[in-house]
Amino acid sequence: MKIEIQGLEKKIKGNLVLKDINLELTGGTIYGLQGKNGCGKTMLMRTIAGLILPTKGRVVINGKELHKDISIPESIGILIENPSFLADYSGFDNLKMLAMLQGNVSDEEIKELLVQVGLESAGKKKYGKYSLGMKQRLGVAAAIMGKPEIILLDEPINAIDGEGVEEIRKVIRSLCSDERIIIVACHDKEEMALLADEIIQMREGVIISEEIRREGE
Amino acid sequence: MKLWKICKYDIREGIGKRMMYLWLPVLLTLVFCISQSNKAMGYIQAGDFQQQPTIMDFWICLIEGKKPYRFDLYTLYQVPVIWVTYYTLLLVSVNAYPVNDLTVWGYQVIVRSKSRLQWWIGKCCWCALSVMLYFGISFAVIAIYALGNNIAFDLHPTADMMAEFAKMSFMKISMTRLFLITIVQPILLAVLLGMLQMVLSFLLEPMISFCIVFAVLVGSTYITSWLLPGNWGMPYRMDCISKNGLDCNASIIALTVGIVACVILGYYIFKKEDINL
Repeated sequence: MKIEIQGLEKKIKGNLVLKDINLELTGGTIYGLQGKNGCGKTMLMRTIAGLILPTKGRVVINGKELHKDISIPESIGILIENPSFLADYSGFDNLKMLAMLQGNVSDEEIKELLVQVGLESAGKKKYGKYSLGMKQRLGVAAAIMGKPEIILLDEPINAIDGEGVEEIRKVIRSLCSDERIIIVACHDKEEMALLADEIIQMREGVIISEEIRREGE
Repeated sequence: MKLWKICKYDIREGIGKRMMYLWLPVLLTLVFCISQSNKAMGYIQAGDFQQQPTIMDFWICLIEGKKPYRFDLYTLYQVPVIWVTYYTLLLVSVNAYPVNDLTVWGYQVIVRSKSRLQWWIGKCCWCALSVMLYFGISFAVIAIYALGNNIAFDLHPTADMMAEFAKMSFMKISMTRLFLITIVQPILLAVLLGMLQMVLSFLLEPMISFCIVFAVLVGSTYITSWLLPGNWGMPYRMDCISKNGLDCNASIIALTVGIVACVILGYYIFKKEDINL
């Protein structure tokens, strides 16, 4: 599993929000994106997910170029900014709806997923009645559902209590494998230190450093 | 297989969860039926009508449209209110769904679609299906209304009704041509207008795209012109019904080409669109 980002730039209304991003990401590593609000972490994640078209440069996933060979990565799960689901459906039904599109997730797997993210008792509750932390947990569940090859998590532990943070961390770590690239954006430096194998620092749309904290699995 | 799943999703979310919009054709058609029936019964009771009206008579009166505007100091132009309202309610029912789908939890759906093309084709299929359902419901309402109201369950129009409420020309064409101009073309027109609205929604706010398509619709009532797509699906404006009307076969081709153009243009625009959450 490999993602190559070459000379990536993104201009929005005349402003360069991503500038000359060059990265090579390989499976078996949890990458942490760190930086202040507005530094480009979310924009980079959206670009990797195929939601944003680069102004310049390219993103190549396992040899296939985004927006040329493929429009969306073939196996990806994302949690970007505030999770959005259908308010009238329960957490379980929301995931089931997505599983119907995804095609490789059974009801039992969905139930197991809800247990893993700490929503076992809230699976049948309507999403509209979820607390912020519960919504975030469901967002994480949707992102990791089906064990996709690329997982992008933007602030996954937002609004989650201490015990929940540890649960989510365990879940993310358990997914780390050679066949998978996990990218997590988190403003909490301590959490990032616990979670990420490699930390990529960004500032004003530019990568300023890459620090390997531990060898990936 | 993936496209079928996307279509299933759109049927569930775009139609199943928006059932209230299906009441629009029910209410409009019912009001129309009651009004038309009262008018027809008046003539029957006065002995002016020899034949029982049929469901085709009602259908034609609902979707026929009207003659174009001709400037006249002494006569006010009567906009075909029923025709305009019929299509407007349909535009309301298909407005904003694709854009809303993208913004609510759209990115979850898009990444699982794995392809922008499949997402777009799914939306096009949803639009066509919604239109056919809208027309189907209207026809069903007329048929059900006919059961208890002295209206014959017959797909042939009657001379009395056509002479008084539509045009005798509807009596003079073959059944095949009648079905083409009263069923196929109006459906194709509705699909075209719905798709045009969807395509414009990528570039403009949904309300503005609705207003533009509405303007095209109303403009079409005033002038018979190839430049105004509303004419392509208005039975009254076909050359088999009105002198100086548009060629029926050419209208069908124009509608089909228009729909295909919307599909292609819509994909081209969406392919280059940043999906901002």
